[in-house]
Amino acid sequence: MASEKKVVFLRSSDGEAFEVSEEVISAASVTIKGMIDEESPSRADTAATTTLAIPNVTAATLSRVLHYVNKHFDAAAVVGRPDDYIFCAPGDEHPLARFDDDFVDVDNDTLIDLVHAAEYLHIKKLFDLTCKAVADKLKGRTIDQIRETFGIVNDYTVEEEVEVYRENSWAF
Amino acid sequence: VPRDVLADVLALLPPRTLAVSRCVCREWRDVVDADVRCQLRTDLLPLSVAGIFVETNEAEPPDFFIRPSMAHGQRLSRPFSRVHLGLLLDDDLVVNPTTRQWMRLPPYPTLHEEKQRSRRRCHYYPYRVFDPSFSPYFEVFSMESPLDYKDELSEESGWPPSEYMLRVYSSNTERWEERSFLREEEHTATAASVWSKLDCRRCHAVYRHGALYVYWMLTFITRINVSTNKYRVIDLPPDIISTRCYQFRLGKSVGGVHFAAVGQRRLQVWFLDESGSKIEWVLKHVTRYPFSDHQTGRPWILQHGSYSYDDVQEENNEEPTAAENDSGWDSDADNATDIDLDSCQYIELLGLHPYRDIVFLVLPSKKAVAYYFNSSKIQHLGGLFIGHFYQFIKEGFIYTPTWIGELPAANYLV
Repeated sequence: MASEKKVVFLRSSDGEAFEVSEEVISAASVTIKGMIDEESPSRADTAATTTLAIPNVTAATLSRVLHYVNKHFDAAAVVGRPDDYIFCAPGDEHPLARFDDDFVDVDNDTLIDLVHAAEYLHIKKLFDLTCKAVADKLKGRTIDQIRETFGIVNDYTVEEEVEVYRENSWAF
Repeated sequence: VPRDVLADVLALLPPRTLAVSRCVCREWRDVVDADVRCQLRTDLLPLSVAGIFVETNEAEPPDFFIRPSMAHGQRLSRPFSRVHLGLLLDDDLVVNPTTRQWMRLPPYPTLHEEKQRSRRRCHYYPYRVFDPSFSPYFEVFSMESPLDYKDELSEESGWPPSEYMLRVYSSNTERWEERSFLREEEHTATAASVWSKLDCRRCHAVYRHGALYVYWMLTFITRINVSTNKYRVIDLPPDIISTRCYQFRLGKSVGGVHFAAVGQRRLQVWFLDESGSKIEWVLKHVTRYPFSDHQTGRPWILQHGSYSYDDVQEENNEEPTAAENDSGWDSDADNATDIDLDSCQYIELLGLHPYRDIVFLVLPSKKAVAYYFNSSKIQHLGGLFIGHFYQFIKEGFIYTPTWIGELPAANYLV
């Protein structure tokens, strides 16, 4: 049965190609669905496998994205592998909550790359998940901790800094 | 983090983290100001003092002493007597002057019959607990005066009691409940000694960082920790009574809870230091009376509370511009004048500025001033001519409009 499924290849910015079920990636990514729809007239004649260039996403990030996509959007995979659920705590709302938690438990650069990829590929669930993960890294931090975590240089002048601190002093 | 993604991420943050993020760098500040605040944090306003509600000894509705830039459309057409951070509370009414919404609290729950009989005459003092930067919901704490315990406690019994029952209304559940608060420390006094000092039932309160501080006239302060359900009694600053001060304000200001007192030609500002294991009062400022005269460019406007007065704001109907918003006293202390030692027999305390080292005072000339107690400078705000000369200010409430969210089942002022 699996052999009957159409697949597409996605080529990352650094040239690596990844195979993914057309049905799954179309359900996940608005951007890729659009690319496939554009391609379809020519594909009908050739029956050749399509390769789509994803110029904005590196292989490392793309493989992570596809890992997520296969978990979340491949209905057969989710239903067919019940062992995933064994590790779910009883209170978990979603059977993939634990997977999601682990998925975004990565360093900042990787996480930001994922946000970008999710945005570019238009995968809303992944975008929301990764944005929330970045937001969680900010919560409860001091100004200096945030600067350090995200490698941000303080570009305020002394006067501006005094002003912005004054405006927001209620939060410290 | 690129700008478009940044806006999405920051939009998920609670206001307090958002405010911290705003200080990180220019780009983050611009994103917060341009994208996030407009789209998603529309229920929070930038922090500023809009004016001061002034309640006098006359049984009239309080007047509203208002900044000119805030005067537009702010006139209230109902009498209100309790004011706090962004909402007013008047017995069973909660009002947000900024959105002109009001709601009526449901009636108090009836207590057990027996209890009700023994406390027939007692009066409940409602205080609102609300910090929209933590939660869009507010609570109303209704408490009894220590004097209302006379029927229950003997004179020798210890004070404070080990358990303090409060009635709490939550706008989240939209109902009242009884909540008990346990005493944190051993009792320090007898009930009789507290009753003898507390000759007036009147009190006022401030809410800061999860705790409600209630000042009981000349006696003590009760700190009610809303999240841990505990409470304790804090003594007033030392010698405050023996120095014959005649007016006191508990307030929230830079870094914590403050207590200001005037008397014997002296103004004192105390800071409640809760950072260590011991809670201590630190004297932040003492001054002998002020104050020279200096007019501000745009005086504040006094809106009288009752209907019979003429509306004084007519000429101020134009939309305030951004530049005007921070004109005058709020921009910086630098354009304030130095004090001199012109004697003033009697000044009155309006309250403390919630975010700056400022006490609002009224001079004998009936001029309201902002007094910067760090630099000992003052700035005139405008005339505060309230009624007759024998009227005095009983309470002043500093009003900071912070929130424009919906009240449950709200009505609108007309």
